[in-house]
Amino acid sequence: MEFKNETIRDFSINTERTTLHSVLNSIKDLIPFQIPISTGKLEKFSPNPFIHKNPWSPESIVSKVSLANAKDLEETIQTSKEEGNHWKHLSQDKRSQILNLVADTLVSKKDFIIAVCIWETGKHIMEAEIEFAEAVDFCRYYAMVSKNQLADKHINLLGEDNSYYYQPKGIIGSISPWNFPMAIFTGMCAGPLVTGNIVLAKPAEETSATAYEITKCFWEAGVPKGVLHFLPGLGSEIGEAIVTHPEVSVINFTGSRDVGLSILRKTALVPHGQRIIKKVICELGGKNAMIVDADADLDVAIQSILSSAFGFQGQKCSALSRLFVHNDCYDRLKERLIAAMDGLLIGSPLDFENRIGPVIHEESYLRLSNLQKENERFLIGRTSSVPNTGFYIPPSLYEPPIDSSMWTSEIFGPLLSIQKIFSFSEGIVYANDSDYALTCGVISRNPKHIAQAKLEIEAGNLYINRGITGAVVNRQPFGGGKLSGTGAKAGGPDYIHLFVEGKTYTENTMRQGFSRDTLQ
Amino acid sequence: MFRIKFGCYIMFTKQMQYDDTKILSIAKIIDTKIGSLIQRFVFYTTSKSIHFGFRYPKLKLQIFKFIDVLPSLETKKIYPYFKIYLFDEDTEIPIFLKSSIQFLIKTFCLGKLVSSLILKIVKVFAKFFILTDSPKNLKKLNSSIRPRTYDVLGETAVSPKEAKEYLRQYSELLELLPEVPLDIDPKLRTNISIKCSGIETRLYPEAEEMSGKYLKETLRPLLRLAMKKGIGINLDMEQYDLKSIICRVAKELFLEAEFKKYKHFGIVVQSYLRSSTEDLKVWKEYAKDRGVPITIRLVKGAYLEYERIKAEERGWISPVFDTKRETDIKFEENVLFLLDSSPFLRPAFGTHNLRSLAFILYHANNRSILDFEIQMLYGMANKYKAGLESMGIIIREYSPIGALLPGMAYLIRRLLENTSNQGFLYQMSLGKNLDSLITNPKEEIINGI
Repeated sequence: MEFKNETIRDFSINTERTTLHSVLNSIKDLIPFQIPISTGKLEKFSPNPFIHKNPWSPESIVSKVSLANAKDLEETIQTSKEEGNHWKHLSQDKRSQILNLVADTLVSKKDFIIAVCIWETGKHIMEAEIEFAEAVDFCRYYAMVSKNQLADKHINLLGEDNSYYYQPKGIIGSISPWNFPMAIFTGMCAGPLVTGNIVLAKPAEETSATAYEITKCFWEAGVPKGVLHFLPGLGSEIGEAIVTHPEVSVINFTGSRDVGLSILRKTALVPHGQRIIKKVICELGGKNAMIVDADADLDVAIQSILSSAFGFQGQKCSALSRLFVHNDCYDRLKERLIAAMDGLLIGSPLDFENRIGPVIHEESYLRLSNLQKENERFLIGRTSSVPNTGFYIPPSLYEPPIDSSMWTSEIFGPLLSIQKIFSFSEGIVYANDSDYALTCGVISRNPKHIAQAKLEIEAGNLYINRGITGAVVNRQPFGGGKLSGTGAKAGGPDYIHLFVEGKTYTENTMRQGFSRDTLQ
Repeated sequence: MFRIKFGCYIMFTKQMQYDDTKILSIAKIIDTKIGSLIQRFVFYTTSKSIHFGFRYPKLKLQIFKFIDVLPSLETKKIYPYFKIYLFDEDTEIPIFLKSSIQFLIKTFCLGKLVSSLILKIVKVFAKFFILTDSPKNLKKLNSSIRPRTYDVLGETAVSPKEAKEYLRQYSELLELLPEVPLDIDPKLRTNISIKCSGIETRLYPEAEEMSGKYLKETLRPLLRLAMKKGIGINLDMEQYDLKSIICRVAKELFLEAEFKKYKHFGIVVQSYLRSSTEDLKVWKEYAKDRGVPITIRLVKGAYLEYERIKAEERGWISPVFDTKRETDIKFEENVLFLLDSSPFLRPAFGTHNLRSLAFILYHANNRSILDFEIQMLYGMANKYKAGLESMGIIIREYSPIGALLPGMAYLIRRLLENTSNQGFLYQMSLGKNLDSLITNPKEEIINGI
């Protein structure tokens, strides 16, 4: 089976733009979306839903999200017991086939899903388009690799049959974030499902409508509701319940470092009556650096910095936040970068010319505004024109001292710090001086430095002479080390192995006086 | 049915054979009516050095990479980089040669000297292709007999501030250039080629309408100034991503009341695009409606690799043809269409290919069309320019203006064009005879049948 990445549409074609525009505008009449809980058999709505406001015009409510609780979780686990076995015993081919169908179903609803995502997140159209393609890729890619990699392996001797085979881990809790509600949510469900597991999908509250649209595609393509459960709600409530439930064997988590570490702590305790050791897969934050070398092509550097630091308002774990620039080009780069930042258009993502949209919600907005105020004395450049309404944070560039927390804590917003270096090696030391090791970039035309970077830089994904975001399934398996996570490498060949357990059986096939072969 | 088809082919081939014989004889005239001894010498050395480049492709690649990084280096760092790119990396230079050169430089502490020497050599080389480093120096130039289309070079504009600076340079250029008399031969009219992404950064394919609005606002003052002085304006074509925006802007702007009557606007069509035939048809209809001709510069296209890589990345069918031959066939088709569209479209052919040049002359002559242009890059194919000029053809030179070192990226592109595997000069450098060089690109198809 050959894997081909889903194509990104050419929006210079007029009809592509106009269709999407009209779908985007039609959302106005459909909101607020009422998001139910699905426990396998039935869908229900909870009282006191979570309210998510539109990020660029907060007076309108995009979604009212039902909040699942421990009781709902119990229900899903009961239904799973009835349906899970059937799913588990389907052949790998069959399950891969269904996942390919999920991909097709997603594609058939592309415009609508993208539109819902943009309304929930304030993402730019191109960012959404690329993210959607990634979601489709996850389904097709995991379908292919599990078919290729999970077949039984036999070693048969004269009187002994041995087999190494894979069994699904059981019930997987997939707790996903709001920043990539299409790609990450889909990937975190597709991997465990295609390998035969039950999935409890807990999307982020902010993007439950997008996640619900995607979940419906899974169901429509043939994944039973009793196998993929949809449990929107609060992390502190349903998230916590999933993490601590004695029958959930794997927690598949993407989100903040604090939550990730607390999941690891909680799951390390095995309460009385729990018969599994839980496995935790976590993809946490990043504090990603880029080193701009003395000989860098500044055109490439600036274009890479803009997209990496400010794409989707910097709300990506792969986003650039620490910039180390060689003395030889520091002043020139700084001047050009600040001018380029000032040229970024900020505003509603419904107007496709805007490069920067709003941040996800008021809480983020207030947190980032405070950070900006605290660090105002280090500010050296900022996009000047910002709309009045909406949660807009202007992209900003800081020159903080090296002991400032701007260099260490994850910001998740369009705030970038810059620091002068005097040698490439110094840049590597700074880049590695971090709790995280997710993505890193090098802009250099010195082959020796590039070789050195490959050897010495601590990052799951190292990018040379390009931006550091936008990993593509199969081409750039994504995930980092250190406190960035357990190195799950989503979109890579190893990911599906996280949801299966190797088992063997050995059978003595000798009978008195003859073996299988002597009879032939 | 097969027989009918076949019969048609034979007739077709006969006509084509006749045409090709004629085209060959024109090509011979262009090629042999040589200008000065110097031009012959330059032509000879260029083809020899290109030939050299092809014998040592790794060395060629490293030299190009080195020239590409050069503008970012301090002078004292030039030799260390030269060493990294040419001696430390795998090239065809024999190891003993590498080490003895390095030994010499090291022993006699020649690093600094070599650095500035390299810089000088590259600058001298750049001067062959870049007219001057600033519009202000234009007057100092020995005003050549050839008409030009001027182009301002530089780094990519990454901010409105930088775009404004380019815009200022274009305006300055327009101010400095002398006014053009109304009744001048259109081939002699001064012209400016504008790279739209240089003067306006807010060009986004997904927001074509707004991008178009921004670009029009930026262009209007330039067009006004050009009109006042009787200077022609040509909007250059860039990567495929921007084609739709640039064409939309051209169509809308040239129809605006103040510009509608001006005869000296132009745009580019690239034959390597699969859509080029369609594009030409659209322009013809447009020009008919407008009632005033538009100049179309027909080129083969300069972003081939880029377009292929981008298309592959996005999973698109490449907008460009896969082979040089298909592009050559399309180019000839487009030449005929353009000639047949005169006077609605004013043809301007940009090519250095001998076959293409002879093809254009032959068919223009057949149709008795006089109002067409041949455009060539400044510093390139001077021998052909001289040959054509001796035949009474006026050549317009596409002349870049800009600082020598930052203009280097431009230079690299020119070099790559010159030395591309299937490039004409390369073929020539192999010592092939003229007849085989100017074969009809379609011929292989017919032979295949």
